[in-house]
Amino acid sequence: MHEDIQALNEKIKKESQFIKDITNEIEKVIVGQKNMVERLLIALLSDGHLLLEGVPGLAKTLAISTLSTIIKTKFQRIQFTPDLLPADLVGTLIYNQQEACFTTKKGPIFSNLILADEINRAPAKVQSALLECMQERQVTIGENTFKMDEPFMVLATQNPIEQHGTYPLPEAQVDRFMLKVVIGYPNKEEEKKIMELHSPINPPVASPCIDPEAILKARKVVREVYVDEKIENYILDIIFATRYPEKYGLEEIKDLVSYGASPRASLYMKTTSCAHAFLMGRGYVTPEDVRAMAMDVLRHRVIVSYEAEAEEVSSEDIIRRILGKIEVP
Amino acid sequence: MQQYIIIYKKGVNSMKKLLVITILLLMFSLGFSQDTLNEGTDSQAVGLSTPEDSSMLASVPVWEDLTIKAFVNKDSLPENDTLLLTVQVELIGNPDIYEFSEVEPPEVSHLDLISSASRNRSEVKNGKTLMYKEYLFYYNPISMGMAYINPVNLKYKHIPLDKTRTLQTSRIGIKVTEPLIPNDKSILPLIMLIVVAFTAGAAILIWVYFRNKKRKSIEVEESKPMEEELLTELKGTKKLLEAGDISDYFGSISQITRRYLREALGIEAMGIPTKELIGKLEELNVDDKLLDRTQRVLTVCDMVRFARHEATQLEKDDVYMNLEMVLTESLMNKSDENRKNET
Repeated sequence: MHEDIQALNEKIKKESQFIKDITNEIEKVIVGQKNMVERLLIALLSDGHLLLEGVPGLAKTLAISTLSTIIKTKFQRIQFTPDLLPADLVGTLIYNQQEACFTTKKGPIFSNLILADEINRAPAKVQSALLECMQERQVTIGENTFKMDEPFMVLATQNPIEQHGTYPLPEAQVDRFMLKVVIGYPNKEEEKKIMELHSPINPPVASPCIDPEAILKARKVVREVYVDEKIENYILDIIFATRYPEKYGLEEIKDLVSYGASPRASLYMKTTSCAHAFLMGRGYVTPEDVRAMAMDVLRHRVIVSYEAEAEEVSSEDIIRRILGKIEVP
Repeated sequence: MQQYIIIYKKGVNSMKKLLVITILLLMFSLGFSQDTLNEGTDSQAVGLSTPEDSSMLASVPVWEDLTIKAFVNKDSLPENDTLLLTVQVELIGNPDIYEFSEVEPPEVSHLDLISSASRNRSEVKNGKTLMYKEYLFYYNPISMGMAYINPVNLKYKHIPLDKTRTLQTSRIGIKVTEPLIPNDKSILPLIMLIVVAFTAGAAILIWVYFRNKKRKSIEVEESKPMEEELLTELKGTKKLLEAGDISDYFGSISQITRRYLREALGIEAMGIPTKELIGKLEELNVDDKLLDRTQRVLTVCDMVRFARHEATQLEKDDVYMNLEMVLTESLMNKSDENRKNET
């Protein structure tokens, strides 16, 4: 192996030790949902945000609050409602009568891990305020601009049922989420374990085990993970196949796709693949990493046509067909 | 040459007859022609031809209102052409005073009669009624040289005078020349047709030839085991190694391995990464040797291609040998099975 990569492999093996500690601690509280936990860590290591879709009661809040406890960061849960205002999120200026001046009252967004629960229930102006914070990593209140604390990660949830009176996120705003993870119900064994574990007398508690600095340090290592040109081309082939399926021998899905994935998808695919390789303790990206991340990176970026909706073809179906067609390098 | 037609008016008296005879004798003496008028016998006509149509013409002076002409359409005839002889009987005035016999085909030499026809027509000219009867004879020349048409005889009776006479044309000579080659315009479509037919025939033959050749080659290819093809390709990868294209060498090894797995086990091995592929092989409960060798080959290939792993000579030889063994064993197993099936 190349000396740099060999050294990087060693470094990653050393630096990624805390991942095991985190997963061990999470497993104390969360049963199953390994995919969700892994995606949470990938988003955290890739400095991205996560959109989570699943029915209520699947431990979304518990997972992120547990993670926050483990990595010793602040956590805020914001329940999005139709009457929520941007100031409720980012904060506002309050007049101080004693000092006869305006003082800044920071909103709940000033935290490390944010759970934006049911983001589609708040109006567009609140969604927009949140997404701006996510993108810019700063908030301006009055004349003052405040940088967000690092690490900063938003985990927004969407409820796939009860869609009446909701404000679905526009495609441009959904694109800002690095990953969209769809979670399902645990299996019978897992659910039995959940029943046993979560007794009201002695609820499970995770212990803090690493500092936020370790996460920031790990992020730097993730950026060093080697991505070969062949892997980059593989990523590009997948992304371009969502835009021009006919050029990749996928004429049958041409009419099913309205819009393919954006260039942001290529960037996120590469970044998350690096994070995935890091989690696996590797200093280089393989096609496995790309394929592992492709679905979560692309599912909210491939916009299906009306024809696809009529035929009940989802973006996941299209991505599966693309991954099945594009040959690995 | 000039054409002379001498007409005898009907009901002429003897004086007039004498005058006409005198004129005829005078003309004969001048050497133009010789006309005879013998009561109860035949009459001679002067055979002349017009310069315009080069046709031969014979005209017979009889009574002034009845004439006979014989002429041909060509005085020089190619051997492969057809000659038309027209015998025309012209009558001015009342036809009821004459009684005709039909014109018989004349005697000919070196010509062959192929068909004949006749037609009638009449017209009024200067207040006089003219009646024509034409006999058409078609001849083919028999051989090159001179051909002759002997005089045509027309026997008729003047009813009021109760006199019978015979009109006769002169002998006509025709030169039969070499047969003519059809001119370009007439053979052009024929030539084009032949060329088109030939080209189409040649194209069909070529198509059939190549189709059969392709079919044979496909049959040969089909009959060749997949492992043999892959082994040939595997041997080809040595060139990459010699050229120092290490990444391409391992890339080719990886592709050959995946193609083998796809063909042999029906796995979509080209579209899935190594780890997933090995998982599928485990699910299929493949032979441990095959699983181990495949894993070793693909892992090293991935390391070289995606992790800039600098493969040792041992690793280069190892992947080659492992794949070669996989393919060779598979080929041998196939041969054994075939032998068993045959027995």
